[in-house]
Amino acid sequence: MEPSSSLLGFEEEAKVSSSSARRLVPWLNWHEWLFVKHALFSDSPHSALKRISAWRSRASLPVLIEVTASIIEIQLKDPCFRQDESNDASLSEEMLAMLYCMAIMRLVNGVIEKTRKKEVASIAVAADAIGIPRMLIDIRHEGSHRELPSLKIVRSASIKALDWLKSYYWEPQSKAIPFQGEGLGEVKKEIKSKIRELAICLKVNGSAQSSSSLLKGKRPKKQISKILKYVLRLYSSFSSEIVSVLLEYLLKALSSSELEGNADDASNGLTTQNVLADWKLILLKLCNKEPEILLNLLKEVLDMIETRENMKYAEDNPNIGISHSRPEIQQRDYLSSLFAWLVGILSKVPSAAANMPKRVLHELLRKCLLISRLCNKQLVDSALQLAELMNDSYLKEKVRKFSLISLSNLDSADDQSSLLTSKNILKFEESILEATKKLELVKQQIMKNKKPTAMDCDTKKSQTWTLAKSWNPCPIGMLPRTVGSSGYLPVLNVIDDEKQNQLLESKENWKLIPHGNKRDATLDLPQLDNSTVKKMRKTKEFSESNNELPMQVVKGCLLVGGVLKKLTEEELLAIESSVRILV
Amino acid sequence: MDSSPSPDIHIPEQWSEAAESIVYSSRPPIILICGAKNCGKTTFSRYLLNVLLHKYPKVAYLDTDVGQPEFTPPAFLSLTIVHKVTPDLTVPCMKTPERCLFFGDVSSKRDPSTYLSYVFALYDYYQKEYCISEKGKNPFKIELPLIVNTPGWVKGVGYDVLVDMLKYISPTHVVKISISRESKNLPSGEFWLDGEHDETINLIEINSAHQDLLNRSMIVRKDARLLREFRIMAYFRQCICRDSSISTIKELAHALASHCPYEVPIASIKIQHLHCEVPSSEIFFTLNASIVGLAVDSEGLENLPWCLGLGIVRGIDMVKGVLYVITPVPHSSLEKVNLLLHGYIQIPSCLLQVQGCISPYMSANTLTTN
Repeated sequence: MEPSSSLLGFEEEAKVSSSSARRLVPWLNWHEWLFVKHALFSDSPHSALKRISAWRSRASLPVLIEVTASIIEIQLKDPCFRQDESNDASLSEEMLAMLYCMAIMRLVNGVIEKTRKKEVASIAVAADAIGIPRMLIDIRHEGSHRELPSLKIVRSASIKALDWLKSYYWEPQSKAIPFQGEGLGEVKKEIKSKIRELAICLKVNGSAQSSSSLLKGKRPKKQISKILKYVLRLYSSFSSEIVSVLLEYLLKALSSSELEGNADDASNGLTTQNVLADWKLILLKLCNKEPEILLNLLKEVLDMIETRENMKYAEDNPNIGISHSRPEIQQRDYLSSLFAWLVGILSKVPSAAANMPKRVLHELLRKCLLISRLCNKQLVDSALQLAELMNDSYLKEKVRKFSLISLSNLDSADDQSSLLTSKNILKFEESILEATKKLELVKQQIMKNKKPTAMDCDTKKSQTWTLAKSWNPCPIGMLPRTVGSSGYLPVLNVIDDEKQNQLLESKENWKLIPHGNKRDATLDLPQLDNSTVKKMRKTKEFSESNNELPMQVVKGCLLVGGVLKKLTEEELLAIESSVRILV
Repeated sequence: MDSSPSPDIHIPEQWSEAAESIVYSSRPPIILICGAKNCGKTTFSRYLLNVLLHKYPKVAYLDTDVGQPEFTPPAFLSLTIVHKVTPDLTVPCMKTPERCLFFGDVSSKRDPSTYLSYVFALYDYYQKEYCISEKGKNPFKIELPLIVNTPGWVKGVGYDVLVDMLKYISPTHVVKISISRESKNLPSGEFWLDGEHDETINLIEINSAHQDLLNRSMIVRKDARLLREFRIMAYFRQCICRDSSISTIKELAHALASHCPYEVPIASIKIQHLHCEVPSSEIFFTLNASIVGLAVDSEGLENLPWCLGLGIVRGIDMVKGVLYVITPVPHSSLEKVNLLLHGYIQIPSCLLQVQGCISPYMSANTLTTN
């Protein structure tokens, strides 16, 4: 009799259809599983064994993984398999045989008991059906009812067991993972084809509606939503790929139309609108569900403009500058008009504009102004539009003033921008930075006035447990993104002190001596308890100064002079020798 | 003295007689209820609770069934002070216990000694607070009766645990409920006393409530795992404010995914894994998207981690060094929490696979080797 869920206040629900058939697993993503698989069957499976012991505490570990780990761990203790490592506590042959036997018994029971019906098939028959080597079944029988089998037999059985496990579980599962092995190229191809499909469907839908044949319009709609869902699902793991693919398409569309049209600056905006009209629909649909795509596109375009500008002015040689100028300026114009068009879309997407936090838009605006250097009219206009979106009249005024400056600048300057000597640039940048500083001050003043004075007594309470200041919904297990509700996967690795320890210890048992020095304190960390905790604090400090610290950098690095750096062997040797001198 | 129970529940005369005999004792009784699985212990305990509440203003309830506790989510051992009559004997309700300890598993099989030490600790607490002490230190202490509920595991290790409990607690009344299948029952008589007879103990032996024409007990089969999942969901339902209408599991999942969590720095929290050993480099892989017990690590003599409730660690930000935890424990009590206990309790998978907020731990391409 099923308990009625209404007992506890929940309405009866229809059972979830098993079409998606998801199962609870202890790993965060397939990347983690692949890491474990690769490490487990390599020469040093210690890291994989550690991870599997962590998985075990999550209580949803498949029995096949558990058994594989057991066998490999036993083999690590067996001097026959590990001739190079010396075992400090070597087990007797009897004990090893017992361990192997137990592991094989658990393998057979774990696999067979699930697949057979007790009355219908005997264990031997069920084993045949799966393909377990007969030897394993015999060992299980021997070990349970008769004498312990010899070490030689169980040893060879363990090898067979591992091979069988590879062919029964590890290989088929890794084949079943989507998008693995071939790398990002495969993913990109997939994304490209999906987006093309989407474009075609939307076109068909649009034309179908215009020709008022409603019946034909229905099927593309379903397909559209299916493709949309698929692309959005990919977004959570491959966000940058999607953004780059979209950008490629957009730029291609722009540049191909320019080649044909040869329009001049005045009608540029109009042409952009026409050319990208198809894409507008696609972007609107995508960004309604996932506004972060638009944000990332805007950021990417700004970055591209910035790098182009930097490249252009980094080359001091005026000749090269001139010869590259024509296509460069064209590219820059494409990018600027693309940016303007994207900002236009941002204002059209109602949910995005409403939900995007002010600080994100502020950041975008600031970057836009900086990059425009007040001579790129389109960018300055876009900045004005962004300021309008933010509904901040003070900000709008300031930006308008900037745009007036830029206009006057443009009127009296050539394209070659000889006016933009380094001095002028510095002046403009300074004035912008000053303005933003003033804005920040004003904002802070306003916020301070708004805050109730009760805040003072709250600070007296210890602030261990605090409510998160802002929270975007995201699935449990993920961290929230700034915009949108898809969330991103966390990186859960504790900084690997072992690697550092090994590196240091391999250099003639050099002892660490605590100093008050910050640099040495980090080298000292592996010896302290709670070393992981201290490392966390250090990363926190660093990340506060640099928002975009990618987590991968942190692994295997030392904090030198306040900056996390990946050190080469020579540098480590240098540090080591210098510390020796101090000693 | 019948408390008009719900229409589905039938209280046989044997039960009501047993309850009355308990209530008519002069001193507040200490009652331990034991019996095989599904024989009706919980129902009898609820009935007895109601009956006692007619005489005493409050009744203490020591729940030692970690698999299906009465007032708390699973994996807890708790001492609750009840002062309200339960109107409907079929509906379990959540109450905040006076003291509880997070055991971390739904059965005592993995660690019976820790289990017993927790039971004894809770009983000692009851003795100290609510039982007359011979020295008469506090004349104003209210003496309360105690009902002890036990799990239905009556064979093997479970039997040994039950015997130890009985020896330590020495209740005034022991209610043993038997079912018709003799092999499943506890031994007859005072099985825990090694042959000695203790005059002060009243052993009441009753049969399970429903019996068919051939006098075979009709047992209600329960899907224990499903019941536990519902219990956990009901517990976390308390996080969302009462006004919002959440009536389906889907709505609850969405609400929990959007609920603003508590942020706690990793550096100010200790993490302990019950029942299994985890290397320190892998701690966060076990914690992400898992249920933890929120405990206070006391430096007291007993060194017991008194627990305040459960929390879901819904995210870990290693860059900021914080854990994000959803819990219905009120903020004022949370400040004391400095220890997270990780056991074998999982988030119900139906909360994790709702369309729109599918957790990454619900994977779609797993091989089903069935």
